[in-house]
Amino acid sequence: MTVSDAKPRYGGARRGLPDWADVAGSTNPGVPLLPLELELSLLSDSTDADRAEIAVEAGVRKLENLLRSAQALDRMVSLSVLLAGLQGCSFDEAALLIGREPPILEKFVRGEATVPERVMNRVRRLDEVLRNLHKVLEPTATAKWLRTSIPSLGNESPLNAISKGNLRKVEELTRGYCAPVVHS
Amino acid sequence: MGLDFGRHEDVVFKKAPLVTVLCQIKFAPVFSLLSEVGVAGFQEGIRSKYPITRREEAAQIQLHRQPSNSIEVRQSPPIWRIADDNEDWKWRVSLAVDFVALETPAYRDFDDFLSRLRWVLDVLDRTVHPGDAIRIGLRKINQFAHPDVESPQDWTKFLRSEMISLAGCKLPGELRLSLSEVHLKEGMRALTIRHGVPPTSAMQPTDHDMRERTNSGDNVVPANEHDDTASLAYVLDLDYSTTIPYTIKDEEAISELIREFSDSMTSFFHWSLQPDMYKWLEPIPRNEVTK
Repeated sequence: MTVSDAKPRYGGARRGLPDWADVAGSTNPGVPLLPLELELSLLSDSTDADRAEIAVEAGVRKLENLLRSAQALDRMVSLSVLLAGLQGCSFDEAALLIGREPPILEKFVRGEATVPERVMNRVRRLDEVLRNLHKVLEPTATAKWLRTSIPSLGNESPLNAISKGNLRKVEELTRGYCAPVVHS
Repeated sequence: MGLDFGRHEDVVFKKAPLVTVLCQIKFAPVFSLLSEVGVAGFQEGIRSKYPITRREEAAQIQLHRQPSNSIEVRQSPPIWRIADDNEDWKWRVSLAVDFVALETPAYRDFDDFLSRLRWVLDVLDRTVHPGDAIRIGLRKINQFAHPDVESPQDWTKFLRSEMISLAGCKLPGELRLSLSEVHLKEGMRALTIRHGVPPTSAMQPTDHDMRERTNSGDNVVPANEHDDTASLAYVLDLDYSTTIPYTIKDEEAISELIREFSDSMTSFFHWSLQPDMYKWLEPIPRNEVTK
């Protein structure tokens, strides 16, 4: 049996592992690289194919764990950087924008729970809203803008509109702020 | 209203002896602040005013002679120093797992200090959300100097004799240091007054050393026991604090409290001065300064 045969036999990463978003919160960000290197060096010396394939499988798992940890940390950073940009907003208002209750948001920012993909998607969209907004408005005016009624949002404030599930309208509104004006 | 040490003119001193002002707000530990990831949002939030960030860690080494002759190394949690400049900083925010602090060697006026503090607390609440403050403290360290002071006894001409006490007497030998600490309690608030003549080493390098100690909560004067030269400076270190819980997002209530602390400290500062010192510090009525 060759090393390349070994992976499908043991299943490797594909052997019934749940989606990484479900388990990333319990992974250890500090998984050391050294054991993997040691196992790979053992692999090169080994004449026992079974031991080799176990080593490969363990190495792949460790790499996956590292990747999950890195992604979880990356999500946490993206979320907290977005929160930093919401100048003047309270934590409760930020939770409304993110679409989660404040205690859940608190767990996200403290790394006590992994930010799920659905929330990350919202974070990316809100980030674009803020980037567009800050092209035309000082960042210090962010909270005031979020609380101001806007006719094109049906006289709702962006904060209310987003909390009621109309993020797309707010995205369109802020894209419009950056669109070039054509004079006839 | 904080402790009142008597009426005084509302003035700004041209030669203000202020070396450090520091406000520290403690909260229950937030362990995500041990890593860069946990600090990222906060750092981003204040980066426009405080662009320099560095991580400081301190290790304490203790030698135990008895019974095991062991060496103990204690690693303290990191403190994130976020400043407006790398070396010559005027403002610095410190963030650790259980506190945030704002400090400066000098400010234009106290409103400026409070406004910066409110801004830092706003970002902290949104990006870290630490919950309630469990201790809030304001510390002001003054270092008096006067050209006519040639020995520690001379301070009796410039500062209240009650403060100078034994250091103001003619004593045999050379005075190496004279430090006093007074604690005043007012409900759940407390004012600690540390003052006296420090050894010369304590003043070199002056404010940096003091800032380090201010953060750690140690006494202001690093008594170098091997130093046998007395300083001609006089230190007045005022530390006002409360353990009443405050919500960190209630920045207005916290800044109101800090202002009360500051007013009490100013009141004590005026109380401590003799007329000659007051005059030498060149007081200017505040309303003339704002003009």
